[in-house]
Parts: sequence; C-alpha cells; structure tokens
Amino acid sequence: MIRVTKRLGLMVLVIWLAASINFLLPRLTDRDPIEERLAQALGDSGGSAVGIEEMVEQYKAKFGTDRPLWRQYLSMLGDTARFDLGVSINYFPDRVSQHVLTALPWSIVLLGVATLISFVIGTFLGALTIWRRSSAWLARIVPLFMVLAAIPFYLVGLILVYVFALVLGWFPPARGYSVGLNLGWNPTAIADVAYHAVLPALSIVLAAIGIWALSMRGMMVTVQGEDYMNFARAKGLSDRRRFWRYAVRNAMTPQITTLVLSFGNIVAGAILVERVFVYPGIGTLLYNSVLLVDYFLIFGCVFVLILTVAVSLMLLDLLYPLLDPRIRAGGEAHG
Amino acid sequence: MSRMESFAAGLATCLLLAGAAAAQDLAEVPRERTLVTIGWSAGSPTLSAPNNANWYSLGAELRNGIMFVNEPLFTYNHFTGEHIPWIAESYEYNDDYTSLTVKLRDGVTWSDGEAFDAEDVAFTLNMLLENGKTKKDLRKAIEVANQITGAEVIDPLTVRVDLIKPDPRYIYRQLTNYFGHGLIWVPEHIWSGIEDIANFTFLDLEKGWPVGTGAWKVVETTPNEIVLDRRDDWWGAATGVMEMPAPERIITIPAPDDERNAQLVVANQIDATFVIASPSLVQSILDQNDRITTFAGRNPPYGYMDWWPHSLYFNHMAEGSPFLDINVRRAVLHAINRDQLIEFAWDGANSPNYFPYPAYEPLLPYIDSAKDLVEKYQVDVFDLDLSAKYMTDAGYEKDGEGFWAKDGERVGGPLEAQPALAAVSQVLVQQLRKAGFDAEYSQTPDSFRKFRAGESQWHVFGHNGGSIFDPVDTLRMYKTENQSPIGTITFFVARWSNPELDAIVDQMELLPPGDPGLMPLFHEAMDIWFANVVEVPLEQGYHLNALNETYWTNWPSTENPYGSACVACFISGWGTLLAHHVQPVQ
Repeated sequence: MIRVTKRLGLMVLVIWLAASINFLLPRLTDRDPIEERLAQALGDSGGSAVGIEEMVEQYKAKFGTDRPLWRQYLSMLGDTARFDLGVSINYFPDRVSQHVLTALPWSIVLLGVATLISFVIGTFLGALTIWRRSSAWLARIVPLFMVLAAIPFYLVGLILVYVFALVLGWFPPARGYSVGLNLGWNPTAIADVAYHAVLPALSIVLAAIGIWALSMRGMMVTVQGEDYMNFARAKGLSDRRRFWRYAVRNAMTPQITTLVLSFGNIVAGAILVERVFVYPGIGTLLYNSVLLVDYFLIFGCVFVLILTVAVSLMLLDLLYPLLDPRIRAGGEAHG
Repeated sequence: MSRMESFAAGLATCLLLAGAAAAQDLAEVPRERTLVTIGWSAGSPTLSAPNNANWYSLGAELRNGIMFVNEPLFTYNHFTGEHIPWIAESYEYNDDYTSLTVKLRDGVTWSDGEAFDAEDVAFTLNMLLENGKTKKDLRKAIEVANQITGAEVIDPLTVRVDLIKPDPRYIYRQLTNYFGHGLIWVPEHIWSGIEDIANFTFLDLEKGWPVGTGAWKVVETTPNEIVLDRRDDWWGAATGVMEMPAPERIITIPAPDDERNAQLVVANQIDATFVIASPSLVQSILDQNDRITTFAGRNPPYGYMDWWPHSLYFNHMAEGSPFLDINVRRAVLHAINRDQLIEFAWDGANSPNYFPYPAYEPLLPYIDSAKDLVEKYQVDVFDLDLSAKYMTDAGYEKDGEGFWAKDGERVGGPLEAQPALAAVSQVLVQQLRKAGFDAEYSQTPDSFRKFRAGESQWHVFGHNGGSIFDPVDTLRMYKTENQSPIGTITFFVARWSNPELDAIVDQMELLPPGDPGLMPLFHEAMDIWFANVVEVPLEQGYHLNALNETYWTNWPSTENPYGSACVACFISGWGTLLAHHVQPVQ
C-alpha cells in the first residue's frame, strides 16, 4: 500500500512538473495568439483593422491572459486538477476538451494499433534473428531492419503515398475516410475507415519494426550468455521452452518499458504522420494549435500526452513484479 | 468491396473504436449531383472552426463551407463592374449621402420558414453598433460603430441606415458582399434572445441551426468535411425569382497544401481546388487530367486577377531606417527587374504592375489617366546605374564586399514576406543583393505579424483593403488617420501619410463612384504618391486554381466572368454565386 501511495505521489509530481513546463513554454514566444487570431479574422473580412487593440484587450480579459503570469499559472493548476482544460482561442468558444476528445480516438487507434503490431512483429523477429535454431534467412534480414530503423516514418509515409496511392492507385493518398461517407457504425463505414488507415499504419509499422527488432536482438544476445540459459539447456528443456520462457521473457522487460514510453510518443509522432496523410487526429490538432500559438489548445494536447505517459509508467511500475519475478516490492532485486 | 478493402478489413475491428462521429442519416446523393470543393483550413489538415456558424464570433471561419447558408443583400462583379441585387432589390442615398435606404426583396424566407425582413437587417447593424460601443468583442462591431449612428425599420421591406458622416461608398463597405467585404445577416427572431453573442456558435443541427436564407442547409460538420444539402423550399425557386441551383449537395473538405489539392483534383475527388501558389503545379495538373481547366482556360495565367497587387513596402515609421531617405527608395525602385521576377517566381504567369491597383475594368480608366506619371517618375525603369547614382547622391559607397554602406552601416537587412509571396521575395532579394543592397530573405512564422506591427524596415505584401470599384479605397490606406503607430497591427503596412494627399482624398471620398470629378483628383493624388516613392509596385496578384469538368461545368472564366473561381477564398457571396451557376455534365 505504501508503495502504491509513493508511486501515486511520484506520478502527481511528474504531472505537475511537466504541466508547469507545458504552461510556460508557449508563453515564451513574442507572439500574441489573440492578436493574431483577430488580425486573421479582420484581415479576411474587408481589410480594416480598426479597433483591433480594443478587441485584443477584451479577449485578453476573457481568457485571463491580461493577468500576471503567476495568477494565470495558479488558475491553470486549479483548472487542470478539475480536468478543465479551458477554452480554445482559435476555436473560441469551443472547449479544448471537446477538440481533444474528438481527435484523440483517431490517433490512439491508428498509432496505438500500428505501434502494437510493429512491437509484436519486431520483437518476435528480433528474437529469432539471434536464436541459434532459427532459419538462416532470419539472420540475413538484419540489414533490412537497420535500413528501416534509420528511415523516419513520415518519409516511409511519403514513399508509400507515392507508390501505392499515386502510381498504383491502390489506396487513397489522404484523409481518414472517403469524401461524403455516411460515417457511422456500419460495415461500409468501418471498412472505409480501415481502408484509409492502411497506408498511415503501414508507414508506422515499417519504420518502427526495425527499431523493435534491433533492440530485442541486442537483449537476446545478452540473455543467451546467461548461466540460466546454459542451465536450462543442460536440463534438457525443449528449444521452444527455452526460447519463450527463458530467453524472450527475460529480454522483454526493457522492451515493455520502451513500449509504454512509445505510447506516450504517439501524440508527438502523430503530427508528421497525420500531416502526411491528412489524418484528423491529435497530431493534427497539436500542429494547428502550435501554428496559431493557441496556448490553451497546446496545453490540452500536451497534457493528454503527459497524463498518458505518467499513468502508463505508474501502471508499468506496479505491474513489473508480475512480469518479472526477480523484482520484489520495495525495489529489492534478486538475481 | 475491392480486394484492397477486403485486406484492410483486418483492421476494421480495431478501428471501430476510432471515435467516429455519431452516425449521420444523410440521404444518398450521387457524386454527379454533389459539388466537392476545398474549404478554408489555413494550411491545416482539418477544416477551420467546423463547430461555429456565428461569423461575428472570434473563432468562426465560415469559408469552411458554412458560408453557403448565407446570402448577400447585394454582390458585386469586379470583372464587369456590375452591382447585383440578391436578397435586396435596390438602394437609395439621401442628397448628402448621410443615410441610405435599402429596399428588400419580397418573399425571402429564412430556412426555418420565418420571413427575412427589415427587422433582421436593422437588428444585425444595431447589434454590431451596440457591441462596438460597449463589449467590443464581435468581429466588425467597432468598424460598424465608427460608420453608422443606427439602422431603422421603415416598413417590413425597407430599412434606413444612418451614417456618421457622408459616405457615398457605404453600400460597398458593409451592404455588398464581394471579396472580404460585407456583413452576414442574422435572424432577429433567434439572435435577439441571445445574451452573449460572442459565445454563441449558432450551430445545432437538431434545431436546424445555422438558419440562413441560402439554398443549402448544413447537414453534417466534422473537422474533415462539412456537408450541405439543397433546400427544396428555398425562397428563390419558390417565388420564381431565381432557378433552383443544380448541386444537390455541397461538400467541403480540407487540403493542407498545394500538393493535396493537386492530387485530389487530378483524381476527380474534388471539383475545384483552393488557390495554388505555383503556376508550374497547375500546368502539371492540366497535363495529367484533360478534364481540368482554370478561369483562364488551359493557358497562363491559370487563374483570375486578385484584388491584392503585390508591392515592396518600406516602413516609413521605422526609426533610423535608411529607407526614410527618398534617394535610397528611388535606388531600390530602379534595382528591380519586374520581368525577371515574373519569369522566375511565376513562370511567366503574371504581369508587371506600376500602380497600387489591380487592373480591374472599373479601375482601368484611372490607371490609364496616370500613365504619364509612371513615365515622369521612371517607375518602370530597371537601371542599375541609375540605382547606383541615387545611392551615391544619398552619401553611400560600396564596401569591400560590394554592398552600399554609410558609416559602416549597410542598407538592407531582413526582407519579411507574406507566406504566399515567398517565391517572388526570394528572387527580389537576389536582385537587390546584385544591386548592392544587403537584403536577407526572411520568412518565419512571425514574419506576417512583424511587418503588420511595423517591426521590419521593408516587406513584401499585397493591398489588403484596397480598391476594387473605384480608386478611393487604396488612397485611403495612405491617409494620416490610417497610419498606425509601430506596435499596432495594421494591414496598411506602408505607414506613410501626407497632409496634401489627405486633403485630396477627403474631397474624393465625398464624390460618388464614377463621378467625373474623381479623375483629376486621382491624378493629383498619384502624383504625390509616385513623387514620394511610397512603395515599389511589383506585379499583379493572381489566384490560380484548378476547376474539374468531370462532373460540373460552366465554371467562371475569362469568357464568362460571373464571379471568382475560388469557392472558399472569400466570405462574400461568391461561393454561393458559383454554386448557383455550375451545371452538371451528366
């Protein structure tokens, strides 16, 4: 119980620190989002900027950005504790949470599923490439993993768009679903959404698979030299049992930590993939908010990321003893 | 379902959780009866402000497609100079141009069945007037409060607008929708009950909001597309005043960049692109799909002339700027080769310009009348020797690296550019460097703000708010009352004024458009303007976009210039005008 409380306390501390940085960073810019939004709105409506200063003052008062920074900060802490992310400047009067909740599922499903697929395939192939009883061809694909690991996934995305969408015409080049689709819980819509998700998902899977495979391979090299592996072989345990129960299981722990951290990176990674594929997820939302320096929307998008990482890490910390019997409560490790 | 779709269905179960919008019961409308265009997304992969139909609110952006709901009192065709009544019938000024009486069309109804009448027009104007004096949180409110004293209902179809001072152009300021000009009319029977209008989104599809008088109603809004269906009870067809428009459905989708526009139109997924910056990309689109055309047909300039001719601006209020010296400004003027700019930056698809005016039909007589001034002030002369002479006269010498300098200070620095003018600015910088100016191309996310706030010494921009139907509006940009101090955002980025010019423009403002007295005053004003080398006009601005004739035809064109070819560029009634004109191919 004490351990759980400690972990919870640590999580709250991490969230507070990260949220504070997230609050401060966008405000370091010289740009005034309210002024910019108004200038854009007035510029698009006949060219007169008459009275813009007075309007800026009005909206600063509405958003509370006319108050001293420390008061804005305290308000942010109070609001965030109540999960109130405030009102977006760019989408005024919409609430930030409304936009985050609309965009988030697209990213979670696309990038979450793609990350899991690449993790499973990459980890499995990475383990096999170094396992002595594996086929010879598995050892030969290691250079391919190196190439894939070196290419950023948005570049893979661009190549996929060119080849499979523009040249071959097999997949749509952009969007989350077809123009004019009756979006809903029906087989046609689901198939259409899935069809549009293939290229973005494939770009993430292809780019990430190499990284998972190479890191797993590295761990397997270490594990294979351990005494317990020799002992298992001496005991005459089957190859399959030694592979899964002794080698893979012990090599997996750092992989799982990385997996959890990479879920946190979904939001960051989503920006480029979603930009390439014109995908309506959280990356797109964050991209829009940064373009327009919408403090509140930036905070909302990044706060979701912070929360995801912090909660995932805490859960992982609590689940570690179940995954790895060497880890005991209190952090005591037994070899 | 295709093989690829079958393959993709493996992901389907997971994607069930994709948080798709709630199921919509949209009627099936065939593609050949659906007009698909690009809506405003400001470079983003999603449409701007899909949840807000209140244009007066800070966050609204109706160019995402919601604009089709609204109709203008009047619209204006700048290609032909025709002033077109829509939901109004006529207007009349009093003798001294201090009030304007507008007669509305009988039989116009809102989409909820209520009559559109003078109460709605008066309410909209008075709402803005009141807000501009008090809360000051609605778009256009302060501007309206600076123009009118009130709007009064004379009878259900007649409304009188009283002006603060005589203004024979007021009809063009707020009551006519063209380019970015004109107001959006709101239903008094709904809005009068709203306390905080700035927080009101006017979007609730279950309630039938937004309510408009237009031929289409919004049936779906998401960040990815906005869908509008034609209303069979639209007043225009019901009264026989107009024909029912052909598109049964209009869908607007986002396209974050030119390449997406190109891909979508080549693949026949959209019928009209947004503005595309590069003429060579438009040429490539035309090469790939022979069903695609442009306003200018399949030839350069691949588009129509916009109201923003481009200029190299000097910031006349920048303290210590070398450009405060008129000889330096003259030297810059003669260092620019406009033909080369157009060849390199626009692939030849533009035309040189020597005035701060677009070459629109109603403006051409004025431009022609002042051509002698172009010659007098050698505005069209590219001559590096002449440029060097002016720099020497200004006391500059070339330093060891060939740049003009005085007291160790070079002339130049960052040349800030509007993002859409990146190509021309880069060529311009090279020309200026060749002439000995230490110019640096600067294009950061902050560039636009910087030069609007007066934080740069020189910059490249269009003429936001300039003339369209007569020469007065552009000249007003250079009046002392519009010269914003450094630090204040403005669209009149020369920050130059002149008391003699003020006096001339004051006289011009009292004369109605087309008055013969305008011509000599214009010549006098331009003489002052050219003599001071206020800015360096570079070229016309063109909106290039591709129009697909696979499903729809009768797009606006040079031969049939009924309006702008860019559906979502302007809030005005032009998108509506276009949607009323296009005809199905099948």
